[in-house]
Parts: sequence; structure tokens; C-alpha cells
Amino acid sequence: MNPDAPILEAKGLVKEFVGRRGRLRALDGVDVALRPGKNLGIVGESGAGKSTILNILLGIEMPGAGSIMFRGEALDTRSRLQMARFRREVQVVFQDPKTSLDPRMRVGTSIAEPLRSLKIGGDHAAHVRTMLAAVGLDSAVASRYPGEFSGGQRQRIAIARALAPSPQVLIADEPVSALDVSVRAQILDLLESLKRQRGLTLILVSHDLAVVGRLCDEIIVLRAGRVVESGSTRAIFSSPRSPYTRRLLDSVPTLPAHNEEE
Amino acid sequence: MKLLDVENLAISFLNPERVLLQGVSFDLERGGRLGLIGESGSGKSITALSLLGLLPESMRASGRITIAGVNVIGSSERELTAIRGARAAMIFQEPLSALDPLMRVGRQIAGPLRLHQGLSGAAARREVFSLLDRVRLSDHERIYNSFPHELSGGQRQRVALAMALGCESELLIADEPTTALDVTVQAEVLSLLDELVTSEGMALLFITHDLPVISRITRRLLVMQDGRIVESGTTAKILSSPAHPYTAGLLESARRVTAVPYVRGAGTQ
Repeated sequence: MNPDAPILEAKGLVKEFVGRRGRLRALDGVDVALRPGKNLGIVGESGAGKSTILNILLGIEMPGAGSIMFRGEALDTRSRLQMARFRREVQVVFQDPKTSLDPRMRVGTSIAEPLRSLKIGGDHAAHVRTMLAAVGLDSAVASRYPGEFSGGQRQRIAIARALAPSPQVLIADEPVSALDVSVRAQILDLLESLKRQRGLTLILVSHDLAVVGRLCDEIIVLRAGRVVESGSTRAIFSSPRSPYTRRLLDSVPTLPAHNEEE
Repeated sequence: MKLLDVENLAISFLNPERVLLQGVSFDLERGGRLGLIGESGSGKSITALSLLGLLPESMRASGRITIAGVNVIGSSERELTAIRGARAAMIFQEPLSALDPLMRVGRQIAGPLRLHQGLSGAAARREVFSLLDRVRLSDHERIYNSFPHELSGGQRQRVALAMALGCESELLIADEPTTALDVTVQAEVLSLLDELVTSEGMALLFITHDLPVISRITRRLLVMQDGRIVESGTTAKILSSPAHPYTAGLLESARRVTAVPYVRGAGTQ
């Protein structure tokens, strides 16, 4: 198989919701292609369709029209065999580890949970220790509860759990938006180094262009369910073609440059 | 006399007793702007609440807070009501928390107009429309008749701003007012806030964890960590040569996280 062939590819995604005010087209013909080793950022504001794409890429929701290919095969959410393989390869980290980790479950049990549910054998306790070390946490953390940790530490735990089954793809949904700025930089550094060490490919769904710009090689800019621009991060930052992308970039608050006077 | 004067403010949890804030002193002159920056748990939000006597019952403040010469700590609820709105208004990260979910937006904006300016009926309605204009909400009728949940986050924050304007407050306390908003909306609300504070001659206390945001809107900064002010000075000075290691760390993180490889105006012909 072509080594550059997309791992995960969605074509012509359409999703409609019917509400009190009639039909709402949340996605309107969106294409997404994730190539091995090329981190992809999906950027947009409220109502852009980010959550809908996320749910479709995770196989939680079916698109109204369009197809999803996983390693060249059409993804069938009804096929348990295929979905088991898919879950092993595609894992997710959410914005708020407070709600994504079970507060009554010890950290070690949480991290081993995907190994159990995916029926992956081996010494789970040893694997949990390896995963904790990989995210920069002490192995003693395993016997404690999520509530004992700060937001940044909980996000490390959530990353350890997501990476426990050794997935190829990590989908991160606003992974640092709920964190303090000083912690944010550490988690971004961690994601970057894990990507290199473990041969991961990231999909980063975020409203934050600065974060996406730092981690991703390619970017899709979404607005109201349509792709307004896509391309390499470098191209999008250096010569954005769409007026909306330019507006987004211009809106990012930045610090004045070093030594800039008032 | 300073508009806002805070001297040796301390705040504690009562049961079990735990000090949350200690030795906090700062002031703000009429029409001035001050930024208060800190991360979660630094004590910045309880500082804001204490200024208007809004601390939960489980906490106690000591020290001295005066707004336009009126004492806040130790004042009765009636005296505090006289300060809130007329002297100082507050907007929050989530405007929904400050708006009544069961009352149409227009009536909520009209509330303080009745109270402070004695307006009612058609006159109050006209004044509400003019306030909506000043916060750039042009769809008067629809906004007036909407419930808060029917509006977008940006519209709700504009409504909260309109209420503050209606009170003709001298001091606006803004606690993370743009943090929950989309980035383009954040930029719009920030420039609106900037413009209104200037045109109305309001003093602004802007509280946030976001250095890039605050660096654009205030000329003076306080840096708070673990319930203390670790550094204060002009924004320009603090950004160019932070004196405290904590400030230096914050700045370094902010530079790394917000370093967008983008030149403003790129791609424009």
C-alpha cells in the first residue's frame, strides 16, 4: 500500500439535524484526509461543525451522506470486528479530563480500561507504569484517584489512557483549552514528543489557531459546516486565501513583540 | 480620592479556616484601567467578588475596600445595593450567570434604568434601544424580546455590557469577559469594551489569565499568585522586563503558546 495513503479519510460528509426551527445542515460536503505522520488541525468557531466531524471520525455518529475510509476500507460502524480494530488504532482525548476520567476509578484502572475492553493481553500493571512514565508521571499515581490531581496532571492521565492500546491516531478535542497557560505549554510539548516517539498522527480539533499552528502540519478551516480553506500550516499562516481565515488569524490575541514600546 | 481603594485585603475560608488571599493592596483612579492577571486558584476572581461584597457566606474578607469613598467591607446589604450598579458594575465570563433565564432581555436591561434613572414604559424602552445601539446590537426588537438562551455568547456579553452602561457605573469590573467567546467574537467584544470604557469615562478593572488579551487593553498590571500580588507596574515594563520569576514564567509560556507564525495582514493585496 502507498505509504502516503491516508490512514483515515472522509469524503463528502453531510450531516443534518432537524430542530424546532427546521433543518440545520451541520456539515455540508466536508473532506478530511489524515496522512501518516502529518498532524491535521481542524479549526473553526462555534457552529462550524467541529464536534460533528469529531463524532463522525470517532465512529460515534453516522454521516447523512459521504464515506469514511479507515486504512483504505469503508468504515462500517455496525461491524464489531472492524470497529474493535478501529478503536485500537484511533483514540481520543477530550477538553476536560475532569469529566472524561471516572472519579471513582483508580488512575491505574482507568488507564488499563481500554486494554481490557479491547481484549489486549499482557501485563496490564506493567503497561500502566510504562504509560505513566511516558507522560511524565510517577508510577505511584496508579493507585490514586483523579480528584487528587490538577487539571494538567489529569490531562496527562487521559493521554496515558488514550495511548495505552498503542493507537496510530490520536484525536485531541481542545486538549489544552481548559488548562492554565503555563500548563498548556507543557501539555503541547508532551503531545509533540509523544508524536515523535510513538509514531502517532494527531488530529487536533480546536478553535485556537496558535495551538493548531504549533502542532499541526496541515489545517482545515471550517465555517458553518463548510471547508473555507485547507492546506499546509505554513501556507495558511503565511498566505491565507480566504478572508475568513485572515479574520481568524487577525483575531488571535498576541503579546507585543519583545522590546516593543507603547 | 481614588475611585477604588483596596488596602491590605485578606480573604479566608471560614470552615475550616484557610487563608485564600493576603496583603492585597491596589487602587484605581477615575477613568483609569488596571489589569489583574493570575492563573486558576490565584485568587483573582474572589478579589473581584469581594469588591462588590459578593463573596459567598463561607468566606470572610478583612482589610479595607472603598469605592468612591464608600466602605464595602462591613457594610449592610442595603448600603452594598447602593454601590452595586450605580458606582460599580461587573461582567462575568459567562453572562448567562448574571442574566435571569426566565426574563426577556429587554426587561432586564430596563431594570436598572427604572431603579437608577426613574424611567419606565416607552421612555425605558427607548433608552434600552439606545443602549443596544451603543453595544452594537442592531436588531433591537428581536434582542429586546429574546430570552438569554436564545442569544449567542457574544450577544449575551453585549447585553451584560448594555446593563452596565445603563447603570452609568463609574467602575466596570470585568472578570474574564471574553474567555468563553470565539476568537473573532472575542476580538470584537474587546475592541467594543475598549471603546466604551473610553467614551463613557468608566474605570476598568480587567481580570484574566490571558496575558496577550490584557496586554492590549490595560496600561497597568497586577500579577497575582497564590493569593498575593507578586508584581505590579506598567504593562509595558512588565512585558519587557518582568521582575518576579513567576511573571517571567507566565510570559514565557504565553509567548510559546501564542506564537502564531503569521504576519498580520499577510495575504491581503
